[in-house]
Amino acid sequence: MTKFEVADSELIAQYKQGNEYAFEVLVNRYKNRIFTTINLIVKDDSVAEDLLQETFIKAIDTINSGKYNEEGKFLPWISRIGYNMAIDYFRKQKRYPKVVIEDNVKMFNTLSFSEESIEETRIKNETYAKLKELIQQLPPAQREVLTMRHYMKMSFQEIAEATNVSINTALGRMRYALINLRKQMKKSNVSYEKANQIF
Amino acid sequence: MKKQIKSSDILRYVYHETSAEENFWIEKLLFEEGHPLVEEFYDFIQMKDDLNQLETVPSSRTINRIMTYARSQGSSKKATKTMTKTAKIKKTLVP
Repeated sequence: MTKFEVADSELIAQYKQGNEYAFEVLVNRYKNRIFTTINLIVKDDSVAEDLLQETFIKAIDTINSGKYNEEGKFLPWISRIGYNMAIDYFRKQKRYPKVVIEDNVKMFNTLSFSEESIEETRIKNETYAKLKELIQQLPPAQREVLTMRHYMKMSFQEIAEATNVSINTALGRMRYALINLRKQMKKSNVSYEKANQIF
Repeated sequence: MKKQIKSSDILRYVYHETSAEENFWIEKLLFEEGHPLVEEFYDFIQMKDDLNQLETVPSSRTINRIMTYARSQGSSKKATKTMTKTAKIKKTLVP
């Protein structure tokens, strides 16, 4: 995991003491990962924006009420809030996630379009749109572990506890998720290998 | 004794959940001895990189709203503290 200059626990302590900038650092540090987690579940940008806001509001209220005691594990804790909100959203809506993925260029934030040719950009967009689609098609248990480990930064042990399975089951599900995705990417997208060469 | 590694060890290694001792053996078997799981290792690494590229970005409007709330709660907390302090002082002054 990325090591930051100031630990999350220190930033939370500073925010509690009235340093609002400390909380801004935390928000900027994790907003994309939490938003991605929510977005992978609800598959709707505007809903994900609302739920992200609610997630942080809940976190702020919990911290200010003195009930936060995660001892430095801020990201798994706040990701879990976001994850539960996204799941609750579906329960309230009484519907299942849509399989159709909207192709959204703003998703691919890490790409520097200005330095790439139009062709390279097109290949990358197609590649990642396909990957996003394939994630939605994974069996729910595999998708859950993938989201929790990769975006929520929960350890395999934490995932095992949260999903009531053994750590070997959690590891097995993650392995199958990654292997499935890799296999499908190779099979379904002729430009995938070409895209990898570009990266 | 010859160490054995499994796919689950490689996966924990890719996600930085292995100990220094495990890292030593995994690296030795994968890269020095060409273990059959080396291909799976590269598949995991590639997928991990690809998944990183999917990270989505919320709008600045949403972030501004969150920060406005964080500031307001911080301010109200400070205000409450000040009020409590003032109340205590008043209490002390009142005979």
